[in-house]
Amino acid sequence: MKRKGLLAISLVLVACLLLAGCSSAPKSSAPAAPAEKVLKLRLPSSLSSLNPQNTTATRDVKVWTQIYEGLYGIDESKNGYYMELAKDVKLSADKKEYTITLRDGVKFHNGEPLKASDVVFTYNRAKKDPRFGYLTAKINNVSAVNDSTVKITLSEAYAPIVHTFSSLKIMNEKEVTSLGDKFGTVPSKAGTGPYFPTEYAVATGVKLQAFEQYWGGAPKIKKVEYRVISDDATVQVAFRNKELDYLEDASLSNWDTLKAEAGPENNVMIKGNNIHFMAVNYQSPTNNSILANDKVRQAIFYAVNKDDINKAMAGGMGMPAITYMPNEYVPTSPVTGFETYKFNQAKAKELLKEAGFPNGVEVGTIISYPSPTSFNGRIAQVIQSNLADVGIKANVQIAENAIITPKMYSQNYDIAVFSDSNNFDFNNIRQQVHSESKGMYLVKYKDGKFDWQRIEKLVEQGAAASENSERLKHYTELWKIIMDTATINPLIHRPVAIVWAKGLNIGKPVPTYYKVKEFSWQK
Amino acid sequence: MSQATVQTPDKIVFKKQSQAKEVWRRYKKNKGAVIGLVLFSFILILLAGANFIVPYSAATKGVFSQINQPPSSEHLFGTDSYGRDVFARVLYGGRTSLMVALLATASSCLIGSTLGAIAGYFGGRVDGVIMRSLDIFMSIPDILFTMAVVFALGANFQNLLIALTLAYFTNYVRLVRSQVLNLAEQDYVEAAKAGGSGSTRIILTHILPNAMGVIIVNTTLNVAKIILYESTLSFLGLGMPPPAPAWGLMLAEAREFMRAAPHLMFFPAVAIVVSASSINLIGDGLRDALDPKLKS
Amino acid sequence: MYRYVINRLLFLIPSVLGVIFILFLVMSMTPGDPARILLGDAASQAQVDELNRQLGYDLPFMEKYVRYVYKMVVEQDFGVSYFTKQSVFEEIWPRYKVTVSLAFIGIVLSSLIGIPFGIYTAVRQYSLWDTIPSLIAFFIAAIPSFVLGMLLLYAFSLQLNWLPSYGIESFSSFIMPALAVSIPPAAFNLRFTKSSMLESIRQDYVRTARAKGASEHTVIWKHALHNALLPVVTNVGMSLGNLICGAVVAEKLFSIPGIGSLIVDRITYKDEPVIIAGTILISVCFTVVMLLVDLIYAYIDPRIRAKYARVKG
Repeated sequence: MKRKGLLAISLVLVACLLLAGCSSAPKSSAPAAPAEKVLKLRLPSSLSSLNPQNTTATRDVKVWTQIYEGLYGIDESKNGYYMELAKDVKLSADKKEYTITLRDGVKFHNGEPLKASDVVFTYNRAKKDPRFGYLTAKINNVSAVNDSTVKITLSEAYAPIVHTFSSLKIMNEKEVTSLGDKFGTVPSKAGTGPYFPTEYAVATGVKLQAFEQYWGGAPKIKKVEYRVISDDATVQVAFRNKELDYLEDASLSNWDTLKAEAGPENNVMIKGNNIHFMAVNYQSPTNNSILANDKVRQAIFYAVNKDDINKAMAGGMGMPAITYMPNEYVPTSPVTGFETYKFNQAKAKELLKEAGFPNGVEVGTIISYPSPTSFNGRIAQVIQSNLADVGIKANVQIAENAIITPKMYSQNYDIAVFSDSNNFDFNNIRQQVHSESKGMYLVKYKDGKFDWQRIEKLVEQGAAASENSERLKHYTELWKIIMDTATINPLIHRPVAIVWAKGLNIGKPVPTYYKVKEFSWQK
Repeated sequence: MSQATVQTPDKIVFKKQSQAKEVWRRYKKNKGAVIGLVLFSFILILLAGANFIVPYSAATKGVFSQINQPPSSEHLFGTDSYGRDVFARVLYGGRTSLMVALLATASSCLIGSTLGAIAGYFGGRVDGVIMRSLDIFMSIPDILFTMAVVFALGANFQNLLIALTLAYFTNYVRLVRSQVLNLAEQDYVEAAKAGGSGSTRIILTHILPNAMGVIIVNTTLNVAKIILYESTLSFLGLGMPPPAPAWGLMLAEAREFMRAAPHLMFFPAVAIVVSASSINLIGDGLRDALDPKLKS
Repeated sequence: MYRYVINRLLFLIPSVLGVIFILFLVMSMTPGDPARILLGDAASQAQVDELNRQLGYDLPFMEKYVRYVYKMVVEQDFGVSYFTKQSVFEEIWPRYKVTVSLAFIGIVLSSLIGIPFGIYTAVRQYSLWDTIPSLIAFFIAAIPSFVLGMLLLYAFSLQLNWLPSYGIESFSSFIMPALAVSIPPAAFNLRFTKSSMLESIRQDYVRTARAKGASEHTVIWKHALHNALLPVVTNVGMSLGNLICGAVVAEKLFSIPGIGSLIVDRITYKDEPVIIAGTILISVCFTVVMLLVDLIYAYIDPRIRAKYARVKG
């Protein structure tokens, strides 16, 4: 009898566990008709939201780019910004007032026509959000002239505002307000882009469906699925197995294998629009403020071998960097007329000797994030090794963003390895060198020993000028000053490797913001 | 056994010696256990003498002209993605990995056994408090707890030790407690209590030595488990920090090159498998040797 | 008997409270704050403070704890994820089911493979049927779980192309994670069962049974097995922690939307609501399994059953 009681209880408990566990019964999906073939793309980590104002992280923006559009768009294959939802832009004589006429016949996914009020709504929403502060800081006022015209007033002449016009994605006011707090957490129809979301789960990804009334014509591929595949080794297997149709930022370590598997027509390696750089904190108190010594910092710069970094981190396929942004993507980025600290061990040793450290010196710790096997983590280890070659001793600390980046932003470090990407205007350098910048101001020039007033002046002049040639002139002088301080050393532009499935046509490949609407299945 | 209380210290030593001899005699008969011991001793000697085989700098210093080379006469195990000698890294990495495993085992054994002995010996409310707190503690999966602790404190040698100790001491509490509960009812402990010996003394001189067999076996097997666990932590990005080598870190770093340079993963994996299995062999052998019933 | 079960289930209450307490304590020691991570580097400190206030992150430790428990108990509200703004319960429940089914299959498979093989290898000690499974188990017990997972991935997905490399949506994609989760504990169970069985076979009463002329079959299956299974059952229950660890690795490797990898990921975001609610669910599951193990234990062991009867009487 006792046995039976025990048995009964055990069975009930087992049943509970089973119910909890197996209710996620595996379901099989029927094979899709060829026309309905789903394009499978990878998400390296969970998509945080469907609200395009949830973050400025590139990984998420890439997905949102398929759903939402800005007044301007970015086309990396055609060298920059183009008018997307804007049809016509008029700039006032004082270069402060933009009168923008909207494209005709644009519809949101919910069927509403695009109106000026939606633009005003979007911009005002972004202005309240600190994450978009660096984009909206110069905007004084946004108002609707009529249903198809918006007037945007700036506090000063500011050519890089185009970057803001492309970064802020227009959302439908009615849809967003009616969803309230739920907006972003569930599929919604608030965008004007070629696709709209049908299913969304943070854990697994998002499914998109072609928007047949898209103003640019219905996209050729009708169904798209973004799937979270976090592991870099697994994703290669998934591509080989045809469980994935397009893989960007593919592994550089196994590029030869991947390339062979994809086939000669289905792979490309392009120069990435990114920068990995090191910052030296000249104000660090370490070892009696050793890094305040100009010669020691210069010695560090000369000791770093960017080719070694390239080999260890990009299989030799990257592009050693001399400036912050690749000129291919940023026409206003300087190319010559400044010191580049070409690798020179003899000179590094000589400088150390002159500084009074013929037998080497300790310079503290090189910090980086997010993991030892990440690109930045690997670079930090190469630099440590390079420095050791000339007798400069440094430790390495690599940890999670949450631990490392606050140290960087509060100048609580000696040497930092950092990266930045997707800059389409050299004005973005202001985040690094201008004291108004709140994040990413790794090296604090303000009130320091360098000519920081001149630095900030040049940043402002560069932004105010409207001619590219004039801007380039300011930025070249700016970059010369920065490089002379030996505080920020651009190291490498990481290449972007892309492979895609046979039978898929991707148009002209781009490093970051690919557009699924350009893709098609071959007949 | 009941006259143990009146034994002089000399006699105890004598008895221990003969016991050890008996255990060793039984251990020797087990082929696998002897192989394990020889292998593990060999590994230990190799690691201890690493300095005489390859210089430490070969394990940490990048040579970027020779990246990801396959094994050759110059580099027995090839070179890694920084051009460092994999053989040197396996040797010096072994020092770190084994040191972490041994120290974490020792500290978790010490803390766990003490708590277990206290809980078992005193029983009642003390036991209740310790065991119930332990139940709560144990219902948080080790992996989550370790991760949170490493993340909170930062990944380095000491903090890894703390995290691993927290993950593994619980086993010892249960183990030693149940041993103590069994032993406390034995005649000689009753006799010692009657003879007026203090609690600490009874635990240290009568109970723990007799529970030693089980503890030793578990401790041995735990070392192998922690070696594996350390590599799992490295997989999750929370293991030993670079550039100093450790087996788990080497495996995690090699994952990226699995297809282009499989040797990077092969050698540290073999090192882990060989050392963990030799430790398991020793543990199995000890268990058999300490429990005479098994060897008929 | 029933009172015992109810007592054990009642212990869940202080247990969950304790778990929440420990987690808040550990989280309070971790660096970074969620608002800074959410708002990014460009936000001013005032904005960060304001968001932390809205999230309820800046409350004093004890107040935060009490509030959390109050909300959970009275309003059955686990809060909203800092990171995704999704309702925590809606976010973790589907993932919980995935992990529990994975762990459950792990327990069942590893027991179904490990225990019978363990018995068999012990009965046929020194035969080929002992040597081969024992050797395999021996090596598996020394391989790190993610290496094993990668070997499976490269064998079944890359080389043979039989199984999908990620996800858990279809039956075929379930196979590899299930194997990755079950194989290491199966090897462990085999080794444990074998040694327990060998120990049991050599006990006096088994010898006595043999001496009395009982058939070999009866001796093994009735006497030896019965006793050998007691520690094995405990061991299976205790291995749940390892299974969760294995599940985290499998979830990471095969991109499975489970709760283990979710918690691991969100630890770096300090997404307290998700971390705490997720861990509570796992720890409740853990406690129930332990109870289950105790009950099975009692079912097998007549001595303990007698004890329960006394308690009740």
